[in-house]
Amino acid sequence: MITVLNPLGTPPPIKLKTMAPRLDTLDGKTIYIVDDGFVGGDNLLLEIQDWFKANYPKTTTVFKRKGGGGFDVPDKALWAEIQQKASAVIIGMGH
Amino acid sequence: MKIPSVPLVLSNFYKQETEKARNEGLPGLRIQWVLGPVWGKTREQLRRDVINGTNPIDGKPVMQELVDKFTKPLTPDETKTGEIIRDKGPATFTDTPENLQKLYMDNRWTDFLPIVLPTERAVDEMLKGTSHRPDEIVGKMSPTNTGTYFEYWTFTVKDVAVNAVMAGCKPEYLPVLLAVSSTGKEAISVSDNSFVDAMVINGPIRDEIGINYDIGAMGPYAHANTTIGRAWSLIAINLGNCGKVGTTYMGTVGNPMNLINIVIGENEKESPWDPLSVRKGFKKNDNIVSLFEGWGVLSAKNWRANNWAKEMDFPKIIRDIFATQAPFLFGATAILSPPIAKFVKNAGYNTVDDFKKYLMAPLEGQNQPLFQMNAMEIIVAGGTNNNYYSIGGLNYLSSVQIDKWR
Repeated sequence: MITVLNPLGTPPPIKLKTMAPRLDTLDGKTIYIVDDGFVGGDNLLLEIQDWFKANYPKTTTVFKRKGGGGFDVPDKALWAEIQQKASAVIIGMGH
Repeated sequence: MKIPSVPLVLSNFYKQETEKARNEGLPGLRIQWVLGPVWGKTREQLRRDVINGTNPIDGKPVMQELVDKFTKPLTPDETKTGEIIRDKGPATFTDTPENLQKLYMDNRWTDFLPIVLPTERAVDEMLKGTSHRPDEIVGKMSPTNTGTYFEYWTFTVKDVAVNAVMAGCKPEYLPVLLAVSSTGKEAISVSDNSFVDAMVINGPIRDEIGINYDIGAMGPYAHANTTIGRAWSLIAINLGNCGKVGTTYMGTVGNPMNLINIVIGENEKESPWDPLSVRKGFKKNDNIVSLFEGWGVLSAKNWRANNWAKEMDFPKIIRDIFATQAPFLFGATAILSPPIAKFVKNAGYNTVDDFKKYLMAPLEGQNQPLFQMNAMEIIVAGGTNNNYYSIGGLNYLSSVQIDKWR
């Protein structure tokens, strides 16, 4: 029998966050559909917008392209606009 | 923001993104999974495959699920708060060598090859390679060095030493590994690009520790090159949480070079130019390690631009090959054997910068340079036995001192 050492580094702690409350209905609400700039994502997001227009006519959708210079870089101006005007957000794509 | 949000993600990234969400404190994040890839498809195809399609994970209609994610009330689990402290588990493991090999491999703490088991004695011996305290924090590493999308793990000198033992390194290699690790640069990137990483070593340390820079320079033909490269990958796996297929490794086709990476000493003796380290601002005899990442290099003989003739115009051929590279993301690097470097020098390119200016000049009839100066690099390594060289996607990242880690 021999004794050996653990080879791992130390992961950071996880701080749990509460998710935002959900909506009782989509009627009368505004959904921001945000394109993070990944190639081809806009095509899918625009199809999603078309789907909402056809199936949820009482829901307003706003398509936006995120700025900031990178997929995961914040767009503070857009975030501020969303804070003021959006009831919900769809954001894509991962790939 | 307290505004309900749903990210759209390809179902292929399910393991990765659920782990990411958990690590961000949102284990119940309502992600909408869709069929991919998305790019390259027409809107009609996306309408058919995604909008009118189902979630590949659970088979439910995508758009109805998306609506439900906004309207179904949160569950108690989705409203929990608090902090989860994670540790790395027991400090030691005691068992037979066979069982320990299996334990390490089953836990994905290895590269699937047998390791040198890191006993306290072996690690203490390894730590003689540095004057730094074992508990000194060397740095942080994550599965990508771009941005903060993945969490960073913290590691000490001793943690690096443990992985150096596992790779079969000698204590005199440890300062190189500490220098490389201190940059936080992972050897195994999460990217679906299947990147490879390279380190180029300059200075007298090459001969001191036996870094090969002659025949076979890029390959596994010296103990130092091979085990240092292997250790860099083990460090990425264990200290940066890299290389876990489906979560922290998504390389679509993978890259065999990830096993031991590319570890090159520059052939300073045979090179007609200043070493890379001097070109990066260091002194001639400084011991420096420079890091690169990209899609990897290929023998230049494989490129269509190459030809075989009695008399060769190597500068032009190299330029024609560079012209086929994709400069805008990851740059390109040429690893020239000394005979090729001397051909180029004798053609009138007295410095590497002179050659780079030629390489980056716009093609005939165009205004835009092919590359920016800092998006291309020239390394001189290998033997003098033939006119071979390699070119491909490797982007220079940084250079650091090795001696401060002795």
